[in-house]
Amino acid sequence: MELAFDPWMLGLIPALPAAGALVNGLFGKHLGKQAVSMLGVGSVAMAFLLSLLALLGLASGGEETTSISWTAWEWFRITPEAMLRVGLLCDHLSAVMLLVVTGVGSLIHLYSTAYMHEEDDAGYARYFAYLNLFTFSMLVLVLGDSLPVLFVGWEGVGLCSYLLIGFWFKDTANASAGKKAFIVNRVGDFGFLLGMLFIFRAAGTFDFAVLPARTEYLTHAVDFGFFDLSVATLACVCLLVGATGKSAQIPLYVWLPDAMAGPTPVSALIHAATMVTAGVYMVARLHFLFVMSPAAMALVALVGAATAVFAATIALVQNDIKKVLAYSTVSQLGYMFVGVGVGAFDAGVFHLVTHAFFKACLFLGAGAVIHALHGEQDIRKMGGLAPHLKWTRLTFLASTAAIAGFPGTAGFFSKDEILWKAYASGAAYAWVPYAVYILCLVGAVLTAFYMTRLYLLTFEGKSRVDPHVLEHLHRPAPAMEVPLQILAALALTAGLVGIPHHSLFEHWLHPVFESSASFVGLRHEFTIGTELGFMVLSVLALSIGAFTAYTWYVKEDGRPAADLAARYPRAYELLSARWRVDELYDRIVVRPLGTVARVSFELFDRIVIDTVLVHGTAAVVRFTGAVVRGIQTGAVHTYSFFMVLGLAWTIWAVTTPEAHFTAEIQDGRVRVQASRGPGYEYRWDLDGDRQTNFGGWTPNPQATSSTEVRGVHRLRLEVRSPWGTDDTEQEIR
Amino acid sequence: MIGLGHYLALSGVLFTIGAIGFTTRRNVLVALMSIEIMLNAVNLAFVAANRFRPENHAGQTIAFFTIAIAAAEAAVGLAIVVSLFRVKKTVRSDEADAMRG
Repeated sequence: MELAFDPWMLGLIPALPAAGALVNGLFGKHLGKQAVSMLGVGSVAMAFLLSLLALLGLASGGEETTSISWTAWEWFRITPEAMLRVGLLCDHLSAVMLLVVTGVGSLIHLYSTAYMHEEDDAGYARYFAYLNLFTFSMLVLVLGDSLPVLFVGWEGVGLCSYLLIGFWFKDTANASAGKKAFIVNRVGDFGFLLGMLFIFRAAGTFDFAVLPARTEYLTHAVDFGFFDLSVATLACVCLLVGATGKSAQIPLYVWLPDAMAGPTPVSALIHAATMVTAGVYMVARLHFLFVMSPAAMALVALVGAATAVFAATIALVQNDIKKVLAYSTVSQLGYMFVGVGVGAFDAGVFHLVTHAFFKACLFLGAGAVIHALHGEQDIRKMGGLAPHLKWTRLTFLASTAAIAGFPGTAGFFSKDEILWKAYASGAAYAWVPYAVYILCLVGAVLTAFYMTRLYLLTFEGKSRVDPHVLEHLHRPAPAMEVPLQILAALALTAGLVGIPHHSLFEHWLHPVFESSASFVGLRHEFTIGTELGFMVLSVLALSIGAFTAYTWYVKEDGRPAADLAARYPRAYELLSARWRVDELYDRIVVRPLGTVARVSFELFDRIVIDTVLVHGTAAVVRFTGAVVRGIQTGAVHTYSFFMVLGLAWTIWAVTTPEAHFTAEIQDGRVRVQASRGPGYEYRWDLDGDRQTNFGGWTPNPQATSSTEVRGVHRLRLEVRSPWGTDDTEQEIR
Repeated sequence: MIGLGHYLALSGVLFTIGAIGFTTRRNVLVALMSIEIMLNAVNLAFVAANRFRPENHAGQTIAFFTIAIAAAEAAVGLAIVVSLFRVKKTVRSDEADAMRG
C-alpha cells in the first residue's frame, strides 16, 4: 500500500505544538482548563499521528527512500555558495526520534492534565504553553537538516527547560535550579557552537546531506605546538562538550538532579522524551564525523562509562524519590554514550528509546506517588503503598525491572546490546573496551541495587507514611493511570524489536549508519557462545544487585544498609553529599566568578562608571551651568546691551582693513591678488626694496610686477581704509 | 552739494542714537521707538545708496521689506508690551526678569 505522506507535512509536525504553545501562551488564561488541555494534548497527539505517517511513508517507500526532506524557506547566506535553509529532514533515525518525542510526549501531556489540575487557570495555560514549546523545540532539533537548525532546537529545549524547571518560580530554590540548568547548558552550548564552526570552516557546509561526502576535509591536522589533532577530533571533542551539557554527562551533569524542582511530569519530559536525549541524538546524527576520530569516540565512551558508574553510586544513598530517578537518568545516559561511543550507534539509540519508555513511566509513577501523598518525596516516609496504588505499583515494578535489565524486558535487550558492543567493538586504544565494559557492568549491579531499593522502600514493607496522609490518599485519576499502563507495556515489550541478530531496530536504522559501518566493528569474530556468556554475566549483575537490595531492605528491614553507613560514615556522607561536586564547582567556578564580578563592580562600575562617568558628567554640567548662569540675567536691557555690543564688534570687524594676498609667478613676473574690502586702497612693494611700486595707493586689488624677478623675493602689501591700516609680507621664490 | 557721504553720516548718527536709546532706556515703549529709529536709519542708508547707484532698485526694494518687517515688529512688540503690562502693571523692562537663570 502506498501511503501518502507529502514532504510538506513534515513541516506540520513541529508547527502543531508551536501553534498550541502560541495559542495557549497568548490566550490560554481566558480559554479555561478544558480548552487548554484539548489544545495542548491534541496538538502533540496530532504530531504523533503525523510522525507515524512519516514513519510508514519511509517504510513503504522501498529501498531507495531513505529520507523525506522539506525546505521551509531560505534563512541566510553565509557565503554566496553556502546558503542556509530552514529545512527539515526525516530519515530513519529522525523518524524513531519523532515517535519517541511525540509519543511519550503526548502521554506526558495527557498525564499533566490530571497532575496540574490544581493550578489556577493562568498557571495551567502557562504550563501547557511551555510544554508545547518544549515539544516544538525538540522536534526542530530532531528534524533539522543542518547543524544551525538543530542548534535552534538545541537552544530551544535549553530555554524551555529553564522555564519549566523554574515553573514555580516564586520559590527561590526552584528559580535558581532553573537558572542553574540554563547556565550549565550554556557552557555546553558554547562547545557545540565551536564544534559547529570548526566543521563549517573545514567542510564549508552545515548540511547533514552534504557533510558525509566531505568528511575527508576534516582529516588534516591542526598544529598546537607540542601536539596536533585532526580537525575531526577537535570538532568532535567540542561537540562532545555540548553533548555533555545537554545530556547531563560528566562534567556538566550537575543541572539535571536539580531539575527536579519543576513539576514531576516536566521531569519525565526532560529525562525521557526530550532534552537529555539531544546529546545522544546529536552524536548519532553526526556518526560519520565521530568515526573519523577514534580518539573522540573513545572519549565519548569513557565519559559515558564513567558517568554511568559515578551517577549510580550517588543514586545508592539518595532518599528523595525523584533524586534517585534523576541520578539513574544520568547513569542511563552514560550507557547511551557508551553505545554511540563504541560505534554501536543503533544500540545507543535503541537504549534511548527503551529508556524513554521506562524512565517516563518511572517518573510519572513517582509523580502519582507524590500526588497521592500530598507532595511527600522522601522514600523514608513511604513504604507499603502497594495495596493503595495498585496500578502505579504494577507499572513502577515493570519499569524497575526494565531499567535494571530483567531478562525479556526492553531494558535488558538495549542495555545488554550496549554492554556487549562495549566489550566486542574495536577502539583506538586496546584497554578502552575492557575499562568501559567493567565500568558498565559495575554500573549494572549498582542500577539493579538502587532501583530495587527504590521500589521496595516505596511500595513494599511496612508503611512509614504519616497515618493522617494515608487516610486522605489521592487516588490517581484515569488520565494519570492510562499513560502509566501504556508506558509500562512498552517498557516490557519494546525490547522485542531489538533481539540480537534478529534486530528489527538495527535493520531499520541500517540505512542511516551504513556509511560508518566500515569504520567501526567488532574487534574480531566472537562465537555465539561468548555473546551468550556475556548475557549471562549481565543477568548475574542484575541478580546480585537486586538480591542484595531485597535482602537488605525487605528481609532485614534496612539494617545492613544502616550498619554499613555507620561503619563508613565518611564514605556515606560523601555519597549522600553527591561527591561534593556541587561544592567543588562552587569553589572553583562560581565563587571565583563571583569575586571577579564583585571586583569589577567595585572598581569599574562604582568608580569608573558611577563616579567618573555619571557623577563626573553631572558635576561638569553643574559647574558650567553655575558659571554661565551669571550672564542669564533675564533682564531685557542687559541682552540689548550685549546685542549692540555684538553689532558694534561686527561692524568693526568688517570695516577694519586686513591685509591678505596671494602671489604667483607667471612668465617670470609676479602677479599678486589682494583680498577685497569696503573702501580699501592698496600699496605694493614687489621687489623688496622697501620702495613702493606703481606710484603709491591704488584701489585696484590686482597687480603685476613690471620686471622679471629671480631668486627669493620679499613681497609687501599695505592696505588702508577710512577705519585704519594694515600690512603683511610674504616670500616668493 | 549733498553727497552720499552726508546721507550715510546722517544714517550712522540716527542709528547710534537708536542704539544708545535701546540700550539705556528702561521703558519698553521707548526701547521699541529706538528700534524704530535704527530701522529707519538703515532705510535711509538704503534709499540714499539707491539714489546714487541707480543701476537697479535693490536699495529701495530692501527698504520696503524693512518697512514691512518694522510694521510686524511693532505689532508683536506692542502686543508683548500690553501683555507685560497686564501681568506686571508696569512697562519697565528691568522689572521683567522672570527668565533669570
